[in-house]
Amino acid sequence: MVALVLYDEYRKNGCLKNAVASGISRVKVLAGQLAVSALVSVVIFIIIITEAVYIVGAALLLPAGGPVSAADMLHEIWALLPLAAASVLLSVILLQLFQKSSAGIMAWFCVFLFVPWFLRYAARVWQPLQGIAAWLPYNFLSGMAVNTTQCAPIWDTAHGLARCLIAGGAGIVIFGIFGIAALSRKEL
Amino acid sequence: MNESVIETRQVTKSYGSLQALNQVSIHVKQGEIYGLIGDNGAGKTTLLKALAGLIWPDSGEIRLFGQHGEKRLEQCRRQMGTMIESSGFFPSLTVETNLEYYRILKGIPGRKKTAEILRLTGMWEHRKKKGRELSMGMKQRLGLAIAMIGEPRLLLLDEPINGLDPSGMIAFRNLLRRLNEERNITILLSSHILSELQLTADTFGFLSKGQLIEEISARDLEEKCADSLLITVSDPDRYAAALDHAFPDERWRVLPDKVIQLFHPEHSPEEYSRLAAEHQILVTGLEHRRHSLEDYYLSTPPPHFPTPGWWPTPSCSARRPWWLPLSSTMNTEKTGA
Repeated sequence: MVALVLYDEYRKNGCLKNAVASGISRVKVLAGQLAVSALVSVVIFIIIITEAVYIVGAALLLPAGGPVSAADMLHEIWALLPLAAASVLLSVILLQLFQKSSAGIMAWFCVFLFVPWFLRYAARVWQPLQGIAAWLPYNFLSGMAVNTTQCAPIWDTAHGLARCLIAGGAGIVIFGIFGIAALSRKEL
Repeated sequence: MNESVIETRQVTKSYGSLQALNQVSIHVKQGEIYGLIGDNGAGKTTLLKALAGLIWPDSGEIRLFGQHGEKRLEQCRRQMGTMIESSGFFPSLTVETNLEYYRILKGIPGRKKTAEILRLTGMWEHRKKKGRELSMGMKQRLGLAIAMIGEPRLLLLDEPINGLDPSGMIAFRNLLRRLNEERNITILLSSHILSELQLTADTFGFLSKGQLIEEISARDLEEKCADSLLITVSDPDRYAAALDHAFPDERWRVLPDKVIQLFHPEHSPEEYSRLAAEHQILVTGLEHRRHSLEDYYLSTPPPHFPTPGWWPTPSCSARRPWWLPLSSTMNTEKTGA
């Protein structure tokens, strides 16, 4: 959503052409877009979604405190920040790569949802895939016990927190290299 | 002697089986307005994109301001402004904000530059309008304004007068002339509106099916366009056949109203009259005419064989350019005899 709101108009109106034709390298343009997207995503993530919406909403609507505390919210930010950044990075790259926004969105869903889901079930047939499937965010986040009576997110344990941070970090590196390689030679 | 601002050497570019550019070598000198002429699909936009770094040629070399190599070309492009395919502005932002965006992007300090460019391109009064509220002419001017941010030494403009009304074309032409004369900006623009290009450019490059047919200065074109002989005869078909037989190297075409137009006639009017008389053909009119760029373009041969459906009968020489659509003024035109 962040990438779409920030850069869809930019892409549709061919603004990248003017930048490249003025001698600004595509890598620099991409790096700038990623930095802005990441910053905007962090702001949204911390202030609006985590703090304002959840906490204020819970305070106003819930009779009791529930299983989640404000400290849990803060802890969640640090655990998921690298994953969120990797997601935004991939969104910006895919929106630039494809002519149509819908194709970019579909590709994002493939990477973050369909492929992990497929690998999870394929791993039941072929064991070597289990190692890969276990490191994909959709697979290790979707099985968490988080509801109105209990809150046991994966990042509550050191092992789980490390998994989130490493998966996020790896995503940033992999998607970053992919983005630079794919977009630096894309014809406009 | 003016240095070359743009030089391409045997640039070739293909998209699958389609060869968009085939060993194109153009030379654009400092301070001139270079008009790139060609039909749709000739390769004009592809060449401009290659110069702007938006695509990469399959082979050949591009030099800008005497420099080549990807890194150096990237540096040279900082002295360049472009308007290729779309103007590249944000429809939801105002004219002024659009220019401010590009000013900051190009690292140019001071808002004064934006105001200066707005006044230069006649957009000052429209600076508060959003991009989507602009007319076609204003959009083109905004595109030019964006290209002008950064005081470029070179402008690449892809069909900048497309979609403009006559007064818009005149205004745009005058603006380009002013930029060229006052600021010594070299301009490479493409168009298929020959009449406008003839009034604007100093040098012309003719592109057809990805090949550069000819580069010619306006002065040389003026000299070459000096001669055209219009002969009105009673039987154009028979006269055309006679012409083909007697003077096979002559280039001509048949126009409506039984007129045959000879390009750069190599013989005297008396010889053409005598030929008609020998074949019992009456000559009812004889006129010398100067070519326009359009006439010259039509007389320039294509580098390829035409498609079978357009190929004239074996008894005829291919005189009418095969790609030329029949217009209202030439709806009875035939291919050469």
